[in-house]
Amino acid sequence: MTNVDVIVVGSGAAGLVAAEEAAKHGLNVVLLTKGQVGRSGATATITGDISVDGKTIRNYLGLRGNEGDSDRDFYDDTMTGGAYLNQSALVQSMISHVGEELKPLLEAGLKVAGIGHAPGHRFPRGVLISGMQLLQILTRRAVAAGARFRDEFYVTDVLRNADGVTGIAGIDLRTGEAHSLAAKTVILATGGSAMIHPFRTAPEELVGDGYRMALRAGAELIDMEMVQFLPCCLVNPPLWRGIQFPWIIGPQSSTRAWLLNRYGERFMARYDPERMEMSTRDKISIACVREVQEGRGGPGGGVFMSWAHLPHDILEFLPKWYGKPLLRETWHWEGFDFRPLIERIKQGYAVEVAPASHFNMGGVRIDAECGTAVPGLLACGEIAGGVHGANRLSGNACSQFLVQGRIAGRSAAQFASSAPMPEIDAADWKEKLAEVEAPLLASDGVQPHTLASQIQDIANRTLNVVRNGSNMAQGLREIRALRAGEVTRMFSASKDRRYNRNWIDAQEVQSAALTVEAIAMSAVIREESRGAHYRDDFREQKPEFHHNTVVSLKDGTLQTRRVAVAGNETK
Amino acid sequence: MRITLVRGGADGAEVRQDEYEIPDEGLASISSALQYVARNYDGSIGYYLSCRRGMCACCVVRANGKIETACVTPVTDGMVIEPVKATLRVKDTVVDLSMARENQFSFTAEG
Ligand SMILES: Cc1cc2nc3c(=O)[nH]c(=O)nc-3n(C[C@H](O)[C@H](O)[C@H](O)COP(=O)(O)OP(=O)(O)OC[C@H]3O[C@@H](n4cnc5c(N)ncnc54)[C@H](O)[C@@H]3O)c2cc1C
Ligand code: FES
Repeated sequence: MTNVDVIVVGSGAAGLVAAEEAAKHGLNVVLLTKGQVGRSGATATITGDISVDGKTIRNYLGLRGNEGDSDRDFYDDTMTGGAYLNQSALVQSMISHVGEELKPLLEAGLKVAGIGHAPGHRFPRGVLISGMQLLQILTRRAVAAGARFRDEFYVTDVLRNADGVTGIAGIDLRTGEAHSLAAKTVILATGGSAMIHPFRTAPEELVGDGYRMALRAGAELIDMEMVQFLPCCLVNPPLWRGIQFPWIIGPQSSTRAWLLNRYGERFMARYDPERMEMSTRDKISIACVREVQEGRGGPGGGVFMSWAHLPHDILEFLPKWYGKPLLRETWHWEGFDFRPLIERIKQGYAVEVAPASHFNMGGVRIDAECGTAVPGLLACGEIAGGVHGANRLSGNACSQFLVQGRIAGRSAAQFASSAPMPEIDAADWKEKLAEVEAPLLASDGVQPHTLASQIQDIANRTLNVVRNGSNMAQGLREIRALRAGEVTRMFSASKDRRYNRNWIDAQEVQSAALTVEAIAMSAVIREESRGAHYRDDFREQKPEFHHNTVVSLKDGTLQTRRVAVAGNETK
Repeated sequence: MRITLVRGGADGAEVRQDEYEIPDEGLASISSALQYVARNYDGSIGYYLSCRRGMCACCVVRANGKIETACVTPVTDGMVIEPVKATLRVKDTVVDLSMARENQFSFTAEG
C-alpha cells in the first residue's frame, strides 16, 4: 500500500492548483472529487473575470491594463466592497500573487476575451476567460506534476485522531462502496453551498459538504452570514431556473427593461427613485425581495422584468450592442437556446425573476498559509472564508482560488514532508461508516430529497436577501427541529449501492442542514446591515458590529462567537 | 408524459429499456426528468448532473438518437434516452468524461 501524503477534496480550480503544487514537491497526491475532473464545481460555469490590478495587467501580463491602477487601489476596493470585514493578510496575498499565477496559464494558452470593468472596481481589472478552458489547462498541469485522481468519489468526512488529520472517509459512487483513505494532510477545496437555496446559479453538487466536514473535524467557520445573490435570475420554467439571462439583457445592458410588481408598478421608484432600475445590484435584489415579501410578487416567488414599453425591433439589435462572444445573434447564451423566451418577450410578455444565491463569502476559517485549527487540515478557494469580508467584488473569486490553491498545496507539502504517516483511528472510521451507511440500512423513514426541498424553503423564507430577527429565529427553530428529527430518520428506498441517488441525497441533506443552521446562527446575531447581509429590522451599518462571526461545533452543538477583525482598521 | 430509459452498466449488467411516467410541468430538461425518475421511482438510476447550464458537458446523453446536453435540452413525450456512447458507459446514462481518465487512483489496489 502506498502512503498518500496529500488528499485534495474537490476538482474545481482551487483543488487542481493545490494538487499540482503539492505534487510538484514530489509528494504522493490524490485528488478526490464528487463530480468528474474538469467537469464539476462552480469553476466550470465561469464565463467571466479574474481580477488583477491594472498595472500588473499591463506591465506584467502584457494586456490592456490601466497603468493608473495599483495594488493599493485594488486592496482598498476589495476592503470597501467587503465592508472591512476582510482578513487583510488574505487580501494582501491574493492581490500581490494573482498576476504570477495567471501568467503561466496565459502562456499555456488560456484565451483572454478582453478586460472587463465590473462594479466596485475603480479600474478595469477583469481578465475575461472561460472556466472550462481554465479547468482543462489546470488539469493538464496537475496530471503532469504527477497527481492522481478519483472521479465520482463523495468525501463525507475528514478523519482525525487527537493529533490531527488522519485521512478521509467517503463513498465511491461508481461501486457504491464506502472507503477510508489515510493521508498526512487533507486540503478541502469543495466550493460553496448555493444549492441550499431554491434559486441558485451554481452547480448541483454544491451543498456545503466542506463546511460540515470542517466543523465535524474541529475547524471553525467565519462570516457564514455573508451570502451573495445575483439579481434578476429566471424563476421558471424549471429548465431555466436560476439562470441570469434576464439580467444580461436587462436594464443595465443595452436595453432599459423595467422591473414591475404584480400591479404593474415600477417599484424601484420606492427604493431608489433617482436611479430606478439603474440602481446597484444589491439594492435591486433587496427591492425585488421586499416586493415579494410584502405581497406584491408573482406566482413563482419573483417580480417581473418587462420590455413591453420598447418597440419590438429594439431587442433585435441587442446581441450587436451587447457584443460577442457572450450573447450570440441566434439568442444562444451559455448552453441555452433562448429563442422561445425572446419570442415571448417580443409578444409583450413579462418574465418573472428573482435573486439567486451565487457565492459564499463565509467559509472555513484559515490563516495566511491556508491552515485551519486542525493540524493537517487546509482549505482553499470558495470553501475558505475571510478574504471577501461582507461582499465580494466580481472576479475576486478567481483571484482567490488561483492564489490560495497554490498556498494550500505548498503548505500541505511542507507539513507532509515532516509529518509521520498517521494511522486511521478504527473507532472514528467505524463511527463515520455507520453514519454514512445508515440511510442505506434503514428500511423505512423519510425520503431525503423531500428534506432537501424543505431546507431550501427555510433558507428562501428566512435567509434570503432581506432578513429580519423574527424570521431568522423562526428559520433557526425549523432547521433545528429538522436536524433533530427527520434528518436522523432518512432512508434510501433503493438498496442498490452504485449511483444510489437516494443515498447521495441523504449525505447532501446532512451538509445542507448544518450549513443552513450555521448561516442562520451567524446572521441572527449580526444586528445591523452590512455588505450582503441586509436586515429590515436593522437597516444601518453599526461600528460596534465591525467584527467577524465564528462558528464551531462543540459536542454536536453549533456555537457562535465574535472575534475582532484581524489586522485592519476599524470602519 | 412518458420517457424510456436505456439502462444497464458497463460491468456486464444486462441492457434493458424501462419506461417511466413523469409529470408535465412546463419546459423541463432531460436532466430534470432523470432526477424526477431517480427520486420518485428508482434511486439507483445513474445520471450525472452538475452545472445545469450547458457548460460542463458531463450530462450529455443520446436522446431519440441525437447527442444532446441533457440539462439544457427540453424533455419531450416518448423520448428515448440512452448513454451517449455505450463504450464509455459507467452506469445507465453516466459516461466517463473525466479530463484525468488516464491518471486514476484505485482504492481497491491501494486503499
Ligand atoms: C455561474 C457562475 C459564474 C461565476 N463567474 C465568476 C466570475 O466571472 N469571476 C469570479 O471571480 N468568480 C465567478 N464565480 C465564482 C467562482 O466560479 C467560484 O467561486 C469558484 O469557481 C470556486 O472554485 P473552487 O475551486 O473553490 O470550487 P468549485 O469550482 O465549486 O469546485 C468544487 C469541487 O468540489 C467538489 N466537491 C464538492 N463536495 C465534495 C465532496 N463532498 N466530495 C468530493 N468532492 C466534492 C465538486 O465536485 C467540485 O469539483 C461564478 C460562479 C458561478 C456559479
Ligand atoms: S450539467 Fe453541465 S452541461 Fe449539463
